Amino acid sequence: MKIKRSIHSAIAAVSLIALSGVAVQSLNSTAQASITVADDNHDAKAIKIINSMIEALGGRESIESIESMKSTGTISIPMAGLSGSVESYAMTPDKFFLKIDLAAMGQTLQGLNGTTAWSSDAMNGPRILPPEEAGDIIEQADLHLRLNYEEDYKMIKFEGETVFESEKAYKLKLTDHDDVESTEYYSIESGLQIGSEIVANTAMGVTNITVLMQDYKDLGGHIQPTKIVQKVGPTQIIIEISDVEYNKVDESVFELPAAVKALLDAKQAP
Amino acid sequence: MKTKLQSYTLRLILAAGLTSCVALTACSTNQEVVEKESSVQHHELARTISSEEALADFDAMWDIINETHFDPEFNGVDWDAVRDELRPQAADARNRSQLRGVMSDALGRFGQSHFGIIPSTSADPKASTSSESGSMGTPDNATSTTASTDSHRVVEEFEGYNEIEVVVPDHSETDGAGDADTGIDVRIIDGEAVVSAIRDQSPAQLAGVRTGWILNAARGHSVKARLDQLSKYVDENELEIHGVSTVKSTLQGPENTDIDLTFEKGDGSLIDLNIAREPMPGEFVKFGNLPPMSTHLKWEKVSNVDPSGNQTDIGLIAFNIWMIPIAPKFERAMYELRDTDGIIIDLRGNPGGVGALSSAISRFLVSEKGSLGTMTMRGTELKFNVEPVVVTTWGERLAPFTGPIAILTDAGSASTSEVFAGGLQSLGRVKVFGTRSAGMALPAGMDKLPSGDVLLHAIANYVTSTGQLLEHGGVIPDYKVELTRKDLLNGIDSPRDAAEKWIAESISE
Repeated sequence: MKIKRSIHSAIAAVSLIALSGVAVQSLNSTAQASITVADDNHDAKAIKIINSMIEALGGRESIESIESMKSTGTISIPMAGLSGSVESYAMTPDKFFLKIDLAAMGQTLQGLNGTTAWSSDAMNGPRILPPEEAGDIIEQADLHLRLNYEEDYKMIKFEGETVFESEKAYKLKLTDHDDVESTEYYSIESGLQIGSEIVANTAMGVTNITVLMQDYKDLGGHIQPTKIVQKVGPTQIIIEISDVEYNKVDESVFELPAAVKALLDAKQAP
Repeated sequence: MKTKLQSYTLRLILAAGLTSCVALTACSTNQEVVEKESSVQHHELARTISSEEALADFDAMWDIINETHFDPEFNGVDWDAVRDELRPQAADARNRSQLRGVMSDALGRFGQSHFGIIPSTSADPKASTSSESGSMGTPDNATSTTASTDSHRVVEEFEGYNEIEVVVPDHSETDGAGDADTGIDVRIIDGEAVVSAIRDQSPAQLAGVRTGWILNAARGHSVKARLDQLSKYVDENELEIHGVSTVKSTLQGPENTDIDLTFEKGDGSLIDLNIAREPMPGEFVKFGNLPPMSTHLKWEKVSNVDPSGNQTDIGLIAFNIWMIPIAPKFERAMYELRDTDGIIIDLRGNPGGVGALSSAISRFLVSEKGSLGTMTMRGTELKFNVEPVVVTTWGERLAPFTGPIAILTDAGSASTSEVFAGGLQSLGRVKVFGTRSAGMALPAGMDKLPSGDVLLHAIANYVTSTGQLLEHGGVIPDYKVELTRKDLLNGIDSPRDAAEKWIAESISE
């Protein structure tokens, strides 16, 4: 089963529709962006900015050394007074599993086992994610996503300097092969990506999302944003990563739950 | 000024507990529908606060709404001017009660649902109890009180602010423990609190209470007088939801307590009964910044046989609030009722809850993809999309239910109940029976303020898939059927009967 990548942005979002109708920012941002070559559609200034970001993260070799990754931390939605824990597992190129526990909400699960993107939560039960919703998970599974940038974006343009969340930033406009546009912001001071604005396909339709990537730290030998804030309208979802492990993920964690298997069988039945 | 302030204050504080938050958040159940205060809370209310403390809350409230109100024009309200007018009053507030009154006045200017202040002691009773347990302080500025030796006091009225006692569950995170009631449900009919339902084997049923009786007095205090007082501040439609909440909060209390009630029977005679309280069914759920809430769902299958001998099997599902534990219970109910001829979903008195549950529950009721409606916030929107269920959470295939579905609503059906009923009505999937819903359907957030009080505030507008605005307008029934006292006295639930009849006719066609 080939799943169409509907969203190609530096910020891959995990759908958390069951909870809030909005999405959660990727927990795996190590491998975001690795552009090395400029051409007519990828202007030199933009390429330079992205390469600087790669260097700030530790360099291409450092990113390529990551084959799997487990992140743990907390998640909160201040506007609702909700908080809980979050775990994510990724194995490049196509396996992903996310578990969120929020008090009063139960457990929210999402995954990709190499072929099937799925979700399961207390409200919506098991779901096979349609292609338009699966793109985010697919991106999160691919820890080397942007190392082959030309596959993801047909156009990257530098749009000047600006101020993003009170920080001076370079602004890049990216257009994927489905003509979906996104905007990314890179700190002029640190070179690191500090945010993005995307249009996401979710179970609650197409919605605008702003993501902030903050508090970069060295976790397990790799530079990571440890605080990720996702804004949908006035709502914020805050993820704070406390621990990351690399190349220790057991592949069994990506197996489909029984209910998802049953759903898959039902959908494939004549 | 006092009259105006009290009017705004009462209406909106009551609304704060009533209304729900869509997608993100939830609402209060009936037992928290009104602001209610325990002795702990009264102590907290009487505490003197500094101008700095007062302004911290006021300014936070103002900023949050300034940034999140879905309408950049603030529904025509000059929000800057409101700050200029009321900030000095907030600074002069002597205690939390007065401050909440000022803030509620500000929130009242919008004339919209889902704006209000939930006291910290209601929102987080455990924390309040642990920090201030045993306090029995009396507010020094109370202008009147109906306090009794019972732990429930109906109303404490302060200058510019009305508080009604909250019942704090002892074990807010455990199943069924803590809060208790008599088993009586009421509706406001012709300005009276009329018994509309009695839980099976409840203390009220065992005491002989009958539907259709008027609840005349509780602990010697006239219920009618309380409703008359309430009616000065709310319109007829709002009186139903606020009145029911007020009465039910009076009937609730700790387990192993009782309450003296006086009823007017069908023949006009009065009867005094002392009725015990028992734990309410279901689970207590603490959802985010909202108070703990009892959550329960019941379902049954009834079979009707018409004079021609034709049998109709109907599934009845009723639940009191849209909280997460409802989802698996509803799924199980639909699974067990999958072979019935039709389904009736009773949302009367259901004040709402987690908005996204409306989509989650709807997936058992549709056979094709659709959308209940759209919530529009500043800068983006979210659709309440529905996708038919195919497999249960336990992995069993489940075909979508295709029989006729009726939804029962009344003025106590608010927020997520309206999103659900109005959404499915707009899709043409259901017929709605009863009376117009509350018209309180704005998605909302619930931010904690510096003091720990919770600001309930609308963050989005909401329209159905056909563009119907539910705020103020409510869900208009396809078949308007009033619940009358006469029918209740005869054991007749006329809206439900009408729905059952419609289902029978639908399948015969």
